[in-house]
Amino acid sequence: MRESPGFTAIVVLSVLTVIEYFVSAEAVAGAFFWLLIISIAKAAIILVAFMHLRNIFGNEHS
Amino acid sequence: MNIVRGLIGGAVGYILGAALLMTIRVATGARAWEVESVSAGAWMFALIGWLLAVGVWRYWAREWFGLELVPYTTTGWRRYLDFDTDHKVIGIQYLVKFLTMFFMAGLFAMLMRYELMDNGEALLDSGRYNAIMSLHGTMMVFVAVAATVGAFGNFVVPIMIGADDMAFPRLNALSFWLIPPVLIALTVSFVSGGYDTGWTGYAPLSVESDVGGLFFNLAFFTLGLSSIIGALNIIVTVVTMRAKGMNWMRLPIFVWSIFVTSILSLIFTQFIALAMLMVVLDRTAGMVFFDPASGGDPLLYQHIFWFYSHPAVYIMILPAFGITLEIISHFSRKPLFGYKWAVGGLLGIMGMSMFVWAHHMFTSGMAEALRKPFLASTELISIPTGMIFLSAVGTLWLGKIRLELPMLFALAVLFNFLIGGITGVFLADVPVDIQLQDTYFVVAHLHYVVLGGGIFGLFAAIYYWFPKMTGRMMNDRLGKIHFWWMMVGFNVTFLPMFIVGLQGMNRRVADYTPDLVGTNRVISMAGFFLGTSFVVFLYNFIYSWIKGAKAPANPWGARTLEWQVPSPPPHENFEVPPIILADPYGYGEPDSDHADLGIGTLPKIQETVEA
Amino acid sequence: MTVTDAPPLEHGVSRIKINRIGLWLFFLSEAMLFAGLIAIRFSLLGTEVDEAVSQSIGLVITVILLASSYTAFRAEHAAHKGDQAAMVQYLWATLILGTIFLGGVAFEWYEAFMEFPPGTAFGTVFFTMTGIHAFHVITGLIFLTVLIRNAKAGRYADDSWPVEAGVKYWHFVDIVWVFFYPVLYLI
Ligand SMILES: [Cu+2]
Repeated sequence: MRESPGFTAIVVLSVLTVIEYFVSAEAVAGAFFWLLIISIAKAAIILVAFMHLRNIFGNEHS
Repeated sequence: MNIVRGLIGGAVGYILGAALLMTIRVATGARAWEVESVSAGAWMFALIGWLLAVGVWRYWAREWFGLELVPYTTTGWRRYLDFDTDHKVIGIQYLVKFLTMFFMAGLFAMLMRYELMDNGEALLDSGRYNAIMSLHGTMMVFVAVAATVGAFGNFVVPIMIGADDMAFPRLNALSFWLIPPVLIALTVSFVSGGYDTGWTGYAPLSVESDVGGLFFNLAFFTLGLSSIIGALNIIVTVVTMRAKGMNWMRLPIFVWSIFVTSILSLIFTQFIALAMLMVVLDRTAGMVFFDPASGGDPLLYQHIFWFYSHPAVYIMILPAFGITLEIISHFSRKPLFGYKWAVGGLLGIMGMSMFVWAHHMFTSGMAEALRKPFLASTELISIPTGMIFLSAVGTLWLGKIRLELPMLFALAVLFNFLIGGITGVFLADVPVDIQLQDTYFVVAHLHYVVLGGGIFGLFAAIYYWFPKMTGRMMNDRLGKIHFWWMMVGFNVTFLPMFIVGLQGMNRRVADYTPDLVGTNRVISMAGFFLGTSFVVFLYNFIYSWIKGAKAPANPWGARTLEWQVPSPPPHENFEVPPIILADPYGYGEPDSDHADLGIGTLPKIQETVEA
Repeated sequence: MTVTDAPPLEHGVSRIKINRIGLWLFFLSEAMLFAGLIAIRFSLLGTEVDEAVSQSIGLVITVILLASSYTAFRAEHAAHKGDQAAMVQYLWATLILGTIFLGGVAFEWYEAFMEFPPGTAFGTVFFTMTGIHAFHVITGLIFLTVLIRNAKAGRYADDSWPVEAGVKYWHFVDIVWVFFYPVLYLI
């Protein structure tokens, strides 16, 4: 995984998506809550790992 | 010339879009031409065509395709008709455009008052009356939402913070050039029979109205696009383009008010776009958002609509508050009283404005449990509003008040908004509101807030910054005649409306019971009186622009940055980027300078003009 | 947006940072639109999902769109490192994955017209939400196409901001789908 930035993020995202799918398919108790948590986690991963959210606050590097 | 080019571009866009949509319709087995479905989609293509032709292609988009940009060579007054990126040109474009819209909407008001002089039918049947009432409301709301921010947010804010332009000048021009299509859509709407829903366009009526209703939706949607782009630009400008030393607590209060307004615009305008989009989809795509028989919900429209339109009330009024505080400080020769509290008031209003929308829906049949919380939140929002008032009154207290024209208008804003605000507290009260909903009491309240507050604020700003924008002074005597004429006309028109409202006269109806004829005569006469006051203004505005006395750099002896540069300001605003040394309101503080302009610093201007 | 937009003041914020703040504010504004759509969905339908939505298509296109976010990220990474060839390759990959996603949505629409047409409450919500999202995907694809075309002319060797903006926009559209997927298919 060295020299492969973002790879971990995409793996985690895919795994979370599959988990989402099964949480819904198996009608796990409190599915709504779990789906909400997972969605927020996925969005946070994209924001931080892919979109460099911190760049707008800290000082720039290209 | 440029506008003709834009119109051709828009027409080509419309035809291409219509052809594309009709092809799709034929392919899916539908009838090729259906005016609403085709027009709604083709409107988006027409907008793109208009924008490209009016300047986006020549000065911007060509580079996306690796082509050379056309150099911008327009000079003189033609710049005001072109895709100019100078924030000062754009500010004046906005001002002229929205004043035009304001006077058109005012003429519609005159027609309505003519009809309401007597009970029964005089000039307009009820359908015509409703169309004119709707168009009057829509256009006035557009003016109130966008005129001050567009004109003075653009012209003054960059200079006040010491910047040479907005952060995104071309985006700025684009947001202005989205405004003419708004007027075109409203004209198309009116010519094709208008719509009878009022500016609120409630579903399900708006879904069933004639084709004019569709163009109202498209107009509002387009204005929304323009507001969002403009708001984004102003926010980025204030955040990133401030001059050295211009920290947040040194910003002129007008900049704060425009900044807060822009945040509200940026966040909430999406909801009006959404509401309009849903109505268009119900009308054209057979969707059922508002059809209870198929699982939709008509109240959904009101929730989404007011979730934008209540914050929009603050989009209309906060810039007027900002102007009022600004002018009161400069014309009382005193530092702004409780500056931090005034800023806090603006931020407080911004934070709370999203929790009050359902006070427009107390009689709509929404869940009863929602009434009390919205009553409470609505009355709570008068606290930050009160903080702004306190700042204004505290500044006036023991000030060396100069009753110049802008000051008169600023004081009128305070007076009128006080009446508008207090009657708003009545209306926030559920039992009272159930009685007064849909009467002229609401009409009077609304006009005291939006016309008495927002539009008086707009005129305060025009009289205050006219010398800076045009380089010429307005005729003072004509201005004062206009002020008293407008102020008296306004109050005599709208105060009696509270009374006929309490007597049960319904709004948005062309007729009323015979016992109200007397008061309505008074209102109509006063209305015409108010209307004619703008003839004086218009004459003064045009005459002074052409032939008025040359304005000095700082006719009012104010300390903010825009008055330290020539009138009108040069293209780059400042010769060298200014350095801000202290807050702008240091009146009466010896040896205090707001800024170092790098040209031998500024002399103590407030003393040089009038000791 | 390029350097010809207002030059920053000497002491001011750099042009790229001004652009970034503008772009993020645009996302914030757009996020309100999508939040509104999600609120409408719950308001009209509660947590009900029509059984006829295709779970397999939903899962597949979601993973594809996530994968396209990864390739977009790599494109931006390459752009910052100045590796133009890799950048173009990854932009192409993103464009293709995005087109496949759009094809999946189109296929789903074809089925949906039979099962829950726009004249039903679920159909209304489903077509509006996927439609507005698809509109954003299409604009993103146009953006990517222009980027690829200009990259071949070597336009981004010095100034990679357009690539960054296009990629960020693509990520944003992806985040929207992260919420739309459970809201439309799962709950
Ligand atoms: Cu309200």
